[in-house]
Amino acid sequence: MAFGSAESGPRRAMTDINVTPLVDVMLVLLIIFMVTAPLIQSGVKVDLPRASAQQMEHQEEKLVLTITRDRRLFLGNTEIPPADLEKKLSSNARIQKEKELYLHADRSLPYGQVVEIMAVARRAGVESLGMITEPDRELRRP
Amino acid sequence: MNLAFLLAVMLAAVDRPVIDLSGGRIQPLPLAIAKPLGSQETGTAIEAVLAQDFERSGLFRLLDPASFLAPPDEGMTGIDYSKWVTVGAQALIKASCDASPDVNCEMRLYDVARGQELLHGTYTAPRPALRLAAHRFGDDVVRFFTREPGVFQTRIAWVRESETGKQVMVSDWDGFGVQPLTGASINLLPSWSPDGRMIAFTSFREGGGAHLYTVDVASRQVRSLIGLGDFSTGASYSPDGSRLLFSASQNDNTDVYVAQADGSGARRITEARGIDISASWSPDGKRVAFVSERAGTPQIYTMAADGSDVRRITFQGNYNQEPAWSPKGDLIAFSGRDEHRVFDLYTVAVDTGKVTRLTQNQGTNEKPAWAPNGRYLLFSSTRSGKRQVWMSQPDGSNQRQVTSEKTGAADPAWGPLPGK
Repeated sequence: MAFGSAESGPRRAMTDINVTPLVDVMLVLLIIFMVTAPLIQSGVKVDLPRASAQQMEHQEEKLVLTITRDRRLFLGNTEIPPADLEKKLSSNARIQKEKELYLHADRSLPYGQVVEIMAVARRAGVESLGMITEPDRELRRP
Repeated sequence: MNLAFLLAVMLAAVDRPVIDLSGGRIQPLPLAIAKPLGSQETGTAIEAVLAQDFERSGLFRLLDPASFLAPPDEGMTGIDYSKWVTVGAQALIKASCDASPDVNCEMRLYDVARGQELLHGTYTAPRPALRLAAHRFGDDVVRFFTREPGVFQTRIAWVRESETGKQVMVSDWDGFGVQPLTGASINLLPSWSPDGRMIAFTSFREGGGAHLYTVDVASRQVRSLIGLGDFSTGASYSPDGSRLLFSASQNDNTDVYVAQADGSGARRITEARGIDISASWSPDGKRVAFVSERAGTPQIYTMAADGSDVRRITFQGNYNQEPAWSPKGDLIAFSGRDEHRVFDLYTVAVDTGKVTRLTQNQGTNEKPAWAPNGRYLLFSSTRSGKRQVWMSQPDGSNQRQVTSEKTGAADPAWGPLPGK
């Protein structure tokens, strides 16, 4: 046995390098590289609100609900009738598991409209709602 | 450990989706079954059987069709996989059946995340065998993901209990397609031959005590097998089908015997005073698990198939019975009476003696019987009123009712895998 000889034998210098942590780190790095997925994709064009908040890193493809300028709804890249929204969200296995939805809404939409959608999402089981915004490039300083 | 080897293993694992059966608890794979194309009547019936198989297997989590985003007429090619990713599917099944009176369906399995087709086949069957066609594709899907044979095409035997008697029945693994094999005298303890053609059982059909018989599953022809001593009971075919274990009572002493499969050459292999009974083969046919009360209370023992090298396996409780050795050889399932004087199911690890409880506070649970792939157990339970046959996974999870007999069902035995 290479281990556990502290009390039984004389003290010796350990000459072997323990490679297990090294292998672990290498594997984690490998997984990260392999799992690097495309950023949020969306074929639907919307003019995003600008915000100077911290940008979030997207590790994987998140579930995105898009609201266009003319108030059409898209879950992923699929248009859904507004009447079906709650049913489609509450039966969605990813929402029920991840409890997470990203809102990708046009900046010209009235506040009330967006809040209404958020309420539907909350009823359908979404606990954490992300707002997708475009980072404000000309950040104004006071 | 070699890093290149690890890398190869990981790349192989990434190559296609798998359901990992090696760990304790199985992580079910999220699976979508799309609305069938072609004949809706046949397709819907096929998909209903598939959905039930997958659900019962515990290997898959079926997604709610109400969440689907793909158009219902989306074909078998040109699939927009992103619509299936959005609803959380990892695998997708599509069926297209033609409108002929017989079953003629094209079935495909897709890997949603990688956007590729995994399986593709045409499944045909005469109309009455529609369920079997669905079971066949289901087994192909299970084999693809787990690299192990599935049990959807297997059959099970059990005993219908009524006031007029007990009748040996066979059905599909899911309890459909019930057929009687014997009359309704008192018939008990069915045991499949490894080729699935014969079932040995214990019967009082000729009066004057219990004797052993066989019934041909296809022709239902019953033959006398063994009538030794005052009674002979509990026949069990060896895994290679060449020998039989059974118990017989002679001179007021019940012992375990072994005989040739045709009933000839019976030889006693236990010698203890008191009852030795309920013998079950180890999967390699070299050892035997049985119940003995040589230590005062009924307990599970194992011994070599010639009766030597007897070892006691259970030490807890004062009434342990009905051992069933798992097909992998590591566990023996049994029923034991607990402090509330109710029988429940347990498994004991043959090597370590570690006991795991599978059922609790759900009626009386008895007579465990393993699936041929070792992934499930059948047993009888009174939890839903009358005694019925139930199934579960070997850790006690995923318990589901199999039979729904008005007057009750018991004594299950799981038939072999198809093609064996």
